[in-house]
Amino acid sequence: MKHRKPRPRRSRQRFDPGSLLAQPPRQFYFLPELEIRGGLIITDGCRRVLDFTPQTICLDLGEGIVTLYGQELRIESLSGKRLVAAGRVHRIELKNKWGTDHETL
Amino acid sequence: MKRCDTWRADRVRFAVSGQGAQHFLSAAAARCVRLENIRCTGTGYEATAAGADLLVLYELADKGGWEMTVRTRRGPGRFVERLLARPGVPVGAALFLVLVRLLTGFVWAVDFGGVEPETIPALRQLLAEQEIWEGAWLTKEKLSTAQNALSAQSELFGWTSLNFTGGCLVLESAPAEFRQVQPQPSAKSLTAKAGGEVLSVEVESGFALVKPGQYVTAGQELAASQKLDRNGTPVTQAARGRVIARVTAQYSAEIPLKQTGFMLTGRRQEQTTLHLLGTTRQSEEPDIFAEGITQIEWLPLTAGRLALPGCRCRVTRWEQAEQTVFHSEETALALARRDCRRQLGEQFPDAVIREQQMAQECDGKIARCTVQYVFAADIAMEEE
Repeated sequence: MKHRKPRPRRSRQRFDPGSLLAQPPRQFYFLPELEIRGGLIITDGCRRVLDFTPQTICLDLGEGIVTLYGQELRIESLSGKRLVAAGRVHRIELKNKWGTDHETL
Repeated sequence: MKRCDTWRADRVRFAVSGQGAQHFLSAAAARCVRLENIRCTGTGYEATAAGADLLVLYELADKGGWEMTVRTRRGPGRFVERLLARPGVPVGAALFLVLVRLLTGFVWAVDFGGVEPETIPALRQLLAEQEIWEGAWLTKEKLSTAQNALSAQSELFGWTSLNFTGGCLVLESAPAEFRQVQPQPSAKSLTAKAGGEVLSVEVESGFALVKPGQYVTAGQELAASQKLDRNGTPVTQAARGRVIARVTAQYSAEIPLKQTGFMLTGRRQEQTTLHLLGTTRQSEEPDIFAEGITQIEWLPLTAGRLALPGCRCRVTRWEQAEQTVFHSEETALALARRDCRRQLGEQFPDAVIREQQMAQECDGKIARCTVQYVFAADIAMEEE
């Protein structure tokens, strides 16, 4: 008996073409960003530097707190709400400011 | 407000320490201070910032109770950095110097000083022949040539000098002073050019032959140049001087009522040339009249009371043509009287008229006037 490759299930959610023209969520463009580009970690929307040691950089990004763990961490540039961090990053922790959600990359 | 970081050349490496020094970093970033190369030192942080932001950093450190020390400072300095932060200032200054150097080579104004206003058009024309006017680029050669041309006008000026400084051409001059040189008297006697009663004898040299109150006739000798002494030897002395006499003379003139001659027609043509910053723009050249009187006006360009490096040259030509004019009888008679007076003035320039009798008539074609003058004048003239 020939084994048939199972077809992937289609999502039951119906596609809405109107969503292509819909506006993004409110304050979308003012939300903080976190970007990893090469050996640099670029954040836009950093309100404060909560902690900075060679092993930890903890940043306040509004509703979330981002903590970078690693070695020889440093801040290459800090201007306004834009921060560029560098170093050997081992782990990035994303945490809700109120402690409800927790995610580790 | 977004700040321009392009020209920040002055760099400061500083260290900040104290409790919660990471908040200093946040506070500096909130004040739009760009921090770079931030390192953790254990007790605090080290970072690099622009020298212009140093005051802000000190203020933040004082406010938060952190200790801040400057480690190294590199760059052209605060003054140069601030200057570079506003590139318009040095560029504007350089542009200003270039413009001053460039624009002061043009003639902005011509100052004729104390020259009589009626002489100025002639001087303008003389300068224009050397291509010097408001808006012209003036070189040393041009100035020297114009100076020589001015010096050649000895009947106008005794001394002249052309100075060109700061775009202003100044003409300094002293009027010419003429000193009459008495000619060497010739060994001729003085005779009367008209008959009359002698009023005064002002013989400066020679031997007077008449006295006041004496009547003389035309051609009579008034002062001799030679006289015999007691031994009969002739003594020669050139006769010179004046003999004032009361003379009666009659002059007549005729003026036709219909006259033909070159006269102004009232038509004119204008040609304007604009000279501005070394360039010349001429209006369309009109048909110039064959005969006419030309009038040239130089009109400097100004903005209110401020002189501009330019001028307009307006050439107006008034047409003249052969025309026939009909005088009225009164006009013709007045012209005839004036002609009689002109004849008297030509013969006796210093005549002082005491009396005059006039006879005038007009027959419809010609106006005639005969005037008999009684006047006092110098009647002495050198013998032919």
